[in-house]
Amino acid sequence: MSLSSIVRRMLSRLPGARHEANLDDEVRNHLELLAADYERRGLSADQARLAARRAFGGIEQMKEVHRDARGLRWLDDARRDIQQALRALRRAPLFAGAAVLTLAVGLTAVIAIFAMLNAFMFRPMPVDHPEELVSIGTGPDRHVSLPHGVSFLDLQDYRQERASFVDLLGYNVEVAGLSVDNTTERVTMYSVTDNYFTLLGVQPAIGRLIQPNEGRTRGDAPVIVLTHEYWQLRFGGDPSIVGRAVRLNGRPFTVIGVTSQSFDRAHSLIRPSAYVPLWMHDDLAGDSALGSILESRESHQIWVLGRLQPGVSLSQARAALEVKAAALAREYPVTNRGFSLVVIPETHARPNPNIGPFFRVAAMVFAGLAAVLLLITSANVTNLLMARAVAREREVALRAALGAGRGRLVRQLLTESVVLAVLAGIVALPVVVQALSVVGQGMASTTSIATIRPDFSLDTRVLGAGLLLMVIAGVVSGIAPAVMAMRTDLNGAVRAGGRGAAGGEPRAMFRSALVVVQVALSLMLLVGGGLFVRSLDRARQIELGFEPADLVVASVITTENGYDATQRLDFYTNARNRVRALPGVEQAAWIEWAPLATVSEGGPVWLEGQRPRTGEQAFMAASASIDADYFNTSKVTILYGRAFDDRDVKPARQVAIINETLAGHFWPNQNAIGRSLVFRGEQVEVVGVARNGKYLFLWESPRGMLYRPLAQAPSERATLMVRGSRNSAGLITEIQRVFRDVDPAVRAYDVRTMEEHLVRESGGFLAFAIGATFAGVFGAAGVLLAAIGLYGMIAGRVAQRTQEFGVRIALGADRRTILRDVLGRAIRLASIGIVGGALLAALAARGLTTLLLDISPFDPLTYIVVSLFLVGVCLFASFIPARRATRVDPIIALRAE
Amino acid sequence: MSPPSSEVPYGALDLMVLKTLDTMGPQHGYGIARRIEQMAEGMLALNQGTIYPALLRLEQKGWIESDWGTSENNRRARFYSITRAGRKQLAIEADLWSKTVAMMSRMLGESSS
Repeated sequence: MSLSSIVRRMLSRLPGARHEANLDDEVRNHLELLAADYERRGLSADQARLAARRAFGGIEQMKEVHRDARGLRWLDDARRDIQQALRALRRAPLFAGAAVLTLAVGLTAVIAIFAMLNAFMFRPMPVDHPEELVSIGTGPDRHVSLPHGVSFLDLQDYRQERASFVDLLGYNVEVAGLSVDNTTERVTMYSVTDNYFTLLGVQPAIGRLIQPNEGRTRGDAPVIVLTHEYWQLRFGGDPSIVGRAVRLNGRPFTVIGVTSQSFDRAHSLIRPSAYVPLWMHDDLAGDSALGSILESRESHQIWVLGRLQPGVSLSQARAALEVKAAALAREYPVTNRGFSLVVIPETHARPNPNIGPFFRVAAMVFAGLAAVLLLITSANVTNLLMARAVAREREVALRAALGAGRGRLVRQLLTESVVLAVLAGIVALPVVVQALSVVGQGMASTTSIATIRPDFSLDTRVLGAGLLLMVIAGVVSGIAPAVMAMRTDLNGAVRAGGRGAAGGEPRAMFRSALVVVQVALSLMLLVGGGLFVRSLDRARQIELGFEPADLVVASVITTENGYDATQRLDFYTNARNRVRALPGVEQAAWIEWAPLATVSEGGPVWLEGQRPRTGEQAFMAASASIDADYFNTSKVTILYGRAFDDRDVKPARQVAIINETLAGHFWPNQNAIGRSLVFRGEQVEVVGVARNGKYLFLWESPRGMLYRPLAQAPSERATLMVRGSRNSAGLITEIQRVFRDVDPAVRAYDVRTMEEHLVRESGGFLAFAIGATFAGVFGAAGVLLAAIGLYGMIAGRVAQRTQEFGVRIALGADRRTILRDVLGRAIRLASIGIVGGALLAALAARGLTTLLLDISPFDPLTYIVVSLFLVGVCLFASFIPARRATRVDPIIALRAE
Repeated sequence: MSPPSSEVPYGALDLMVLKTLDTMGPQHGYGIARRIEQMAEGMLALNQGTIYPALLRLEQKGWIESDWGTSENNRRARFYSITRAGRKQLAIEADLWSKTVAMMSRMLGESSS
């Protein structure tokens, strides 16, 4: 069903539509009667009908006037209701303030979460027909357990599938040094297929963009396109930039144009500064050991978007590509067998094609948690409104007696709660903006692989959703009190003088039920938070295989400076020696990539003479080039053999150190030392076996790892690991200074402690830390609100029963009995809430399964601890009013009557 | 041919409707229009349709109310009747109207003599 037809059907349910139909009936009837009269006077049926139409006058004009009058009436009523609500709230500032602040807490949470989801899931890409775009990726395969990119050669073949797709585009995110007038800056750029801009429908701000068939072959004129933002930032929007010569990783490029201001990227998180044709990727990469990605079916690193042909559905397109993929698997079994394609709408692939589906689950969970928090706050406001309703019973009854319709009165009361919610929204918005900027800044970073900057700006979609949420929150909090106010016996209420004689019992029941619901909901939040905290705890207990304490890391990419292998090694050696000489530094060593970093390397390994035959899968191992002192520095244990040393520089005898898993795979229960392996087609001799560790993800199963000496395999990027006992902030500054001293052109990035590295990397604790933080904040807010709700309810009851307590105390009742009486009730309610909440949480927790690490969503310890905590909070919240009950002075209590 | 007819003065239609409902009892829209035309004896150019916005106006002010019933041609029809507030309003406006008429005729009488 289309959106417009849904809207039309909803509109036809509105009271206005009923009026319209009624008026039609009236007019038809009128014309018939009038015509009948004319006929009686002797006119023919046709003449009579015409005469009747003439006497009636313009039907449409009349209807228009009628409609106007109706509409104005509705607006008029609404305006009057709002004014009345504002007046009423001004008379009760304490109530209004409490309700607004409470609702603001819940609204802040939901609006902020929605604004984040909007950036990642809803906001369309600013291009032509963004809804036609689909993301195409490779499903989990034997190398990577998550969906990921597509190989270049496969992309070329998929592009032939023109029945379903207008075309497919590909891009690869990379980092390069962009030099202008001898100053070099690291920029994130996309290497794109020649059709990237035309397929998206992006226009240049000045100059031109990369065009089809541009830079298709090596040796074509190297061109670069700048983004509008980068053009403004670095070149101050100077239009003479077009045609300017710049250098990328030391190679000459010509600027041909600037993208339009509205479009800068096809990715929701990674902000590029420039674009170059994908066909130049190999030139930029330098002499990478991996070889060209342009000739590979193995290297799945290109992110692909396709534009569907008009009228072709996603499933048709998916089916067509699957046929193609199956044909490729038959043709190239070595590289193309054993994986499937992931074809999903572009918005589902955010923020990253590889974690898109997982991210959507996480997004739903956090949206759910925020919604639960909003429900708790609404329940609190309902509670406040109920308390107020008692006081207003007389006012409402009087108005009803004076002839205000019940529907009208309910609407007035609801208007009041919606006004409260909108005021709360106004309070919440600046907090939302602040929260978003904190989260956004927390996520924004320039890392080894990209410039990350999410765009959490509040667009009309967020504001619209925010307004809708406000109205919903207002109606949800206000509907029960409004309906209950209508149910009370009017006569009784007017006579009782506002003591709430009538309807008191159901109201008290309802308020108790509200507290039960709140306790249940906050238990849900706490269970969610608890499970994330337990996951984080489990993650921290995982054996990393190295000693993360007292380590600082600093990374460089030497290709940015156009270094060759010798220059690289010189830099590595100089920088390492000077850092090691710093006071307080015990050890320092380079490794190609730090454990659990986003980048990694690897390749096929086999025994000499046992090269896998066509169709057979090679054993894949991760690999890293390291300094001789890496094992000392990271404290990875060498189980057998030796670490690298000065012997391992000669190219003649290529050596490697492997981990237990790799050794066990090829030589189970045998000595691996002195044996030979073929790694990436090159023969290496095993000189040592190291203890297993975690390399790509915390939660990976044991993975083969192969270390090479830097001297024999000088990698382009490397991370210096520094072990030192001294203050890390000071050390970080010193390391940066040393790098600058060795070569001012080299820029270090991600200089931080290993602790921070692990928390900020997605292969490390990041997901669990985010989960625990969000769920923890929501849980704490929920519990606080539930406690306030419980406190309010118990305090209200104690106040109502003051006389009773007075009498009982006067008659000699033990104060402890009274305390037990009041607390008992609170505990009963809390217990019902906790049991109900545990059941609800167990039902909902299943959705958390994929987000948790090594912990069951039904983990009993979490449920027990959280329940006990909540019992404690409830006891505390009700103890204060309960104690007040025991201190009632019988004389004062009785005199008050 | 036809006698000279005039537009309905502003506010007069509402008063006519109220008076009609007061004397005739509950009526549907056509009944009200027919009665007004009969009383005007052709001196009024009334587009009968204009009484519906007038009826809505009066109902919104609470001077008349409506209910659904069956008309003489056996159709579902809306019958309007005057409320107590409507009668009070009718009395006030009728009084105001006759004072206005008396004053106008005095003024016009003076100027023509």
